[in-house]
Amino acid sequence: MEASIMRTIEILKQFITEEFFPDGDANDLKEDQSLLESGIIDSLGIMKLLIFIEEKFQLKVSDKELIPENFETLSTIAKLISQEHQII
Amino acid sequence: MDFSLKEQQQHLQKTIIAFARKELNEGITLRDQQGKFPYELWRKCSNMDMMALPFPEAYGGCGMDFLTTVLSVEALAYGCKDSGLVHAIIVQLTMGMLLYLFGNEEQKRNYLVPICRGEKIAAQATTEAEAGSDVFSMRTKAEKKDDNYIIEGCKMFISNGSVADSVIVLALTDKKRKTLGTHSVFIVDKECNGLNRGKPMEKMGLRTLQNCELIFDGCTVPSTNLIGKEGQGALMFSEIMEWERILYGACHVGTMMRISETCVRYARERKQFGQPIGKFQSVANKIAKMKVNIELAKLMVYKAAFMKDKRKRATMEASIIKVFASESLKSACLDAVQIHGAYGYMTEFEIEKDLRDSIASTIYSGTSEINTMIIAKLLGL
Repeated sequence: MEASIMRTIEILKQFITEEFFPDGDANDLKEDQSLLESGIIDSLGIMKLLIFIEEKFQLKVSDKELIPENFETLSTIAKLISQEHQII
Repeated sequence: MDFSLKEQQQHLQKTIIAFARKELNEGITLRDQQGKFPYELWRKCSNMDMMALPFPEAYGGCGMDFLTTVLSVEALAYGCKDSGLVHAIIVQLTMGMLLYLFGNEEQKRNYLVPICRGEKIAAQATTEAEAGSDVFSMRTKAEKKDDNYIIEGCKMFISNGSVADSVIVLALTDKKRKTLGTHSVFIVDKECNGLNRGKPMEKMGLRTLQNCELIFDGCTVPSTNLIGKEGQGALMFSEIMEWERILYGACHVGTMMRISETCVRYARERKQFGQPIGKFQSVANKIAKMKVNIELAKLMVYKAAFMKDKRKRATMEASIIKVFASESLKSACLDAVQIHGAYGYMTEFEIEKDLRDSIASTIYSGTSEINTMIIAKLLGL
């Protein structure tokens, strides 16, 4: 896996752990663990995550990419960030 | 940071206010009592391009930015005493925005163009008897069968429901799971077999806005009527609620401005104990409070509209607006009745109508309680 993707995943892991299960350990969160299916992120949580992603990575997730599959796991989110960065 | 409005925006506001006062207010008391949809006034508003403001010219829109759209809605609500009509236009704008942001080219051509022109009236069908903001309690489902989706379920309190040509429906496409990707959005034409509409519901206020129950009984729509992708519904609505809440905020600001001016005029003219009642601190304070709330709500509405123009998320801002502007409106309307005394309670003075119209504002588009909870959750609480 690319170093930049790994770095993105670490940043996301940190944020999600702090915001969505503060008593948890960031290391417990796996890259391919479903964030939506497990209920870690709900409909409001995803807006919070979007605000964070767009501010932190200085990008705008297009409306077309606003689909649950893109937010399913840390890996898919990191991939989305990398894609949107390339568009910019 | 520049707080001044452009000359074009100021001119547009003046034009809309003059139009609304001249064309939309006559017979408002009777219309309110009859509770019918004002088709003729709707046509006048569409001729003024009120439904076309933020959309690109390619779809019949005016190509204005969202801030200018918001300023126009504020002006309309300020000039127009028919709040039901203003709300019907906001539903139209919001559904146009959903199609513009998430629809494909064909859907934009078929639906957004006539929505911009006001030729087709749009409704948004989300709420159910057992599911308001809690969309996971939603029961309306859409099942794919060959090249169609079959929609079954019942939507409640749907604004524009009984007059709509096109209904945008949020339905479950995955009943097994309870996660974000279980809802999808469809556009349903009024002619569609299996779409049955209840009678317009009688309401406390906003009586010219038509709300009804929509029953989807084996309502079959082609799969081309799916907006966006399957499972995108909840995310789509999260986004669209931001636009909607900002538009309602602009509407409340406009209405409060009109109410506040009525109160100032009355408090200067009406004399008791040898002086205008505005000289009594208890009356003056109420009106000053209105002014404080108007200016604060206005700044927040403009800021959020500016953010949307910059394609930024405004989830928190939209909820702040929704809570603050609607609670301020309700409070201003109550104070206006009190300031006008017995006159305020009489139908003839139209103040009581504004109060009745304002009550729903803290309920629709997420109650004040829900929006406050959103703010708290976004703060990490």
